[in-house]
Amino acid sequence: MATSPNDLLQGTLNLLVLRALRDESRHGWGIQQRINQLAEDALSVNQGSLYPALIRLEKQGLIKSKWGKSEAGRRAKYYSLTARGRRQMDTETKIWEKFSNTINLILKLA
Amino acid sequence: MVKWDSVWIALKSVFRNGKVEDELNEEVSFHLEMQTRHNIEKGMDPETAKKKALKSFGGAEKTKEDCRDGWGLRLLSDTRRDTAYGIRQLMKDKGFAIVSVVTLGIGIGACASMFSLVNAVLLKPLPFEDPERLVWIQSAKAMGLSAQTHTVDNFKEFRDENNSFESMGAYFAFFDYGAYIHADERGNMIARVRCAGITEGFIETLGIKLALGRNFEGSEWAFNGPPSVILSHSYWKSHFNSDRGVVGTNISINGRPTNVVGVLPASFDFDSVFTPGTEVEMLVPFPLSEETNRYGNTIFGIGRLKEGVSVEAGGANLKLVSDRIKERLGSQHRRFHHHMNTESLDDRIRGPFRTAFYVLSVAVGCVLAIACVNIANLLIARSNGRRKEFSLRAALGAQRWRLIRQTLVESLILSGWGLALGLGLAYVATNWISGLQAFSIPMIQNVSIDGYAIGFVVLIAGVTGLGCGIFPALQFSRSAPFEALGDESQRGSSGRRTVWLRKGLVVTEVALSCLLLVCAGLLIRSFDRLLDVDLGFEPSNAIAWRVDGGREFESYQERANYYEALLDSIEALPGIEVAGIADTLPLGRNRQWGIVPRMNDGERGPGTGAFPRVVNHSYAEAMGIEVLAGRFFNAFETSESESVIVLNKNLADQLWKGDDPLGKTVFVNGRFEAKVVGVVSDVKHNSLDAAPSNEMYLNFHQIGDFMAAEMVVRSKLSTELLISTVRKGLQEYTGRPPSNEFKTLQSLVDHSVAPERLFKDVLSAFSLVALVLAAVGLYGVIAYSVGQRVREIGIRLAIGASPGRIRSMILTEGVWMTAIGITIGLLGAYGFSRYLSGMLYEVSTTDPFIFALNASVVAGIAILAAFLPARQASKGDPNEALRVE
Repeated sequence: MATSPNDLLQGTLNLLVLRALRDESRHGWGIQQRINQLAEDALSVNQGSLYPALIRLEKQGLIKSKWGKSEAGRRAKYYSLTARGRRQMDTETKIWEKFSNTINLILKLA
Repeated sequence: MVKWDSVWIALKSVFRNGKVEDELNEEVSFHLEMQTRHNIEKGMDPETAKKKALKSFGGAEKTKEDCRDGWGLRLLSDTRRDTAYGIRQLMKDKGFAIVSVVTLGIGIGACASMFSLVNAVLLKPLPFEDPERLVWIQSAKAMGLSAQTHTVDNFKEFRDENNSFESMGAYFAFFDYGAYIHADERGNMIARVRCAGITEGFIETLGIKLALGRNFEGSEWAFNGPPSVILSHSYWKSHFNSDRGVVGTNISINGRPTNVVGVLPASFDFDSVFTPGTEVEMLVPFPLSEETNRYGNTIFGIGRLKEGVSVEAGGANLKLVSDRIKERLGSQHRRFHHHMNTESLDDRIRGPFRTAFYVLSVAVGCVLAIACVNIANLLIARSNGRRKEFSLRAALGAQRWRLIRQTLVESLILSGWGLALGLGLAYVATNWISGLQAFSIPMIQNVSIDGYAIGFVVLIAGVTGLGCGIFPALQFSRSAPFEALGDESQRGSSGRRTVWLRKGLVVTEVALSCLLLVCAGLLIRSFDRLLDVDLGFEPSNAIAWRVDGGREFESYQERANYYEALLDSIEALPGIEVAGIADTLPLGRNRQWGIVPRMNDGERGPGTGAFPRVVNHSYAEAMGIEVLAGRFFNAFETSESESVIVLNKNLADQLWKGDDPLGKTVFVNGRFEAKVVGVVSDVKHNSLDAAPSNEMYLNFHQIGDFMAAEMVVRSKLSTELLISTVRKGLQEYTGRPPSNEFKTLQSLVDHSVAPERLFKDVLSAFSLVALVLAAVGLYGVIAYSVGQRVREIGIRLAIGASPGRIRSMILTEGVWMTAIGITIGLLGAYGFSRYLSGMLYEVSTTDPFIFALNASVVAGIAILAAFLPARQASKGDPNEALRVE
């Protein structure tokens, strides 16, 4: 995979989505809310890119979807992690940690 | 790895775009709803909350589009849109669409039919196991069957003494002389059938698996063994209703209970491979015995080579065996003089048809190419008319690739419809062809539109669609939008390169149609020559009817008397002039016997071979065979009177080289002597294009070798009346319904030239279609260029150019294209016609008359096509012309 800024961002979004699904399955809006909540509203996911990301992840077999009932009793599509998705999340988390540590190190030294 | 999920989604979205889209819609609207509610909870009024939600979402439509991208659906949905748009565009111009689809349909249909034909006749492997190891074994490469076949003993020696063949089998070449009647239990005739005799090893060598039952075995192979038959698959289907229980039961053949031991598989019809055009309903065992050996040369051999042995090596090996036999027999057995000719079975069966079919395939390709060129021309003309639309789209930012794709999609839609039409046409055509028993073309009954044919035409249609669309499409890729818009606004004629392109295409069309026309012309001329051949008999006003005694006769004398009485009763019918009988008709079966003259000094002179024809005394008159010297037989000759013989001119000349043959004595077939009483004209025996061959006529009162009976009836009655008269007469005389095997003598001739006629007709039809298409193409281009130059022409007329001048200006353009096209076409024909040489009879492949004639036909039609728009242009009113803008 190339490493243009977009790819980096997309990769980050993927990781955030996977992380948001770690504990339970959620619908699209729920995922967005969860990310916002975890980021303490410091980071806002562009909602327009969330759904394409979900479709990509599903195509890659990292998440799966199922139609279910929402809290309000409406039909909604719920996403959950697959086993592969869970592994991918762990790997990517490690890579990200290593990457951000390195960046932090550089930033501190400079 | 293929992601089946995504493929599934993609497919679903194409066919039922709704479902996936609906789900996406639902998901997005759910999101918006949640966001709106969230916003309301934060204290916004509902209206603002909703707006805010939409805004933060960042454009629902854009998101959906991105999602589609994620599915990989973008290309598909675009294509769908292009297709829908293309269909709309085409429906706007129905005339154009119909003309294009019909043109392509005919081209594609012709291609599909031709492919099925070539596939069935030439390409599909023969219906045997490892067919490439099968070898055809015959004696001389001469005309007569007797010279081509082997004796049983010699065949056995070939089979046992070689070391190149795994196995060998043979079949009896003269099976068509026998008459077989299949009757029901009460003895009522069901059908007259042909039974081909096969030897031990025949089925095994070919590697055929019977559909039902078994091969002949044990005593069935012996001479006069228990009667048994194997049914052909089609006869089993038509006359036994595909009843599996028939195997093992007895049926009545010639009054004898005959055991049905097996049924051939559908894949192998004896006749379609070995005797195309002559139906064979049953196989019977042909014993390899002392008795059958005495028949003389009667069988064709087939051998299966051992693994890794070439056809040539196998042939050389058999030649050695053959030479040994020749040496041992010495000169006294000249009757069984031996040659050994081998070739692969494939070459033997299909070889003669290869060139013809490949020539036709090329012709069909030319027709399709011309059709394509026409469509391409129309598309270019159309695209010029749509320049503004495309320029605008380009200016608005449509990618060039999208515009090209749009054009290609449109031409692919056309070819897709053409494909549907073409497949329909091909289905009808192949159905018709496979029903043609009349053609002596092997395996032609198997012609059908199968998976290969469909695959082939889909490919052809794809190539056609792209081929038609590529020229107009490439134009867009060149013209920058600004330029095109500018061009449009100035209303100039279309780009110079476009004009050249279109002219080039028309020149190609003219050249191809000229080439085809010349080839068809050669075939037509050859066919005329063939029909002009002196047949040696009079084919009009006569019919031939296959008759039989319906029982076994005690002796040949009794048989001859029976038939004479039958002939008398037929001759007594009103309107009948004369009826005669022979064991075989011209242009059909043949065999060969030796004939040796006694010279003036009483010694035997050098002999030769000739076709024996066993006939009654009125045969020559019934056939219209001319007696050149002496007389034909008379009604007073019997088995007791002196043996007499009549020769044809060719044979008489060969034996006595100008001396008077009348009253001379000959030895026939090494068996008896006969006195020459007459000489008759040469009759075409094998085919119309064969050189005269030797023939001798023997009286059926004096010789027993008379197996099948063909009655020839001459009358001035109309054919229908004649047939019904004779049918009634036969019914009355024999007391049972006569066979349906009757034909006019003319149809014998027609039958013998059927393949030539087929090739001629098909090629003529192709070349006519090509000519018409080329004319339409030329007309279209000229008319279009006139349309483009309306203003120019108007100005010219306004400042005083005469209409004649305008006409000649426009005509010149057409004449140039035609001249170049014809020149190329003639050069092409000159190079290509050599492949026709094998199909031409007394016509040179470069016959200058045909070349000139067809070139002028093309020129005439082309100039006419150019003249029409030229006349229209010159008639135009300059005022109106100038006001067009």
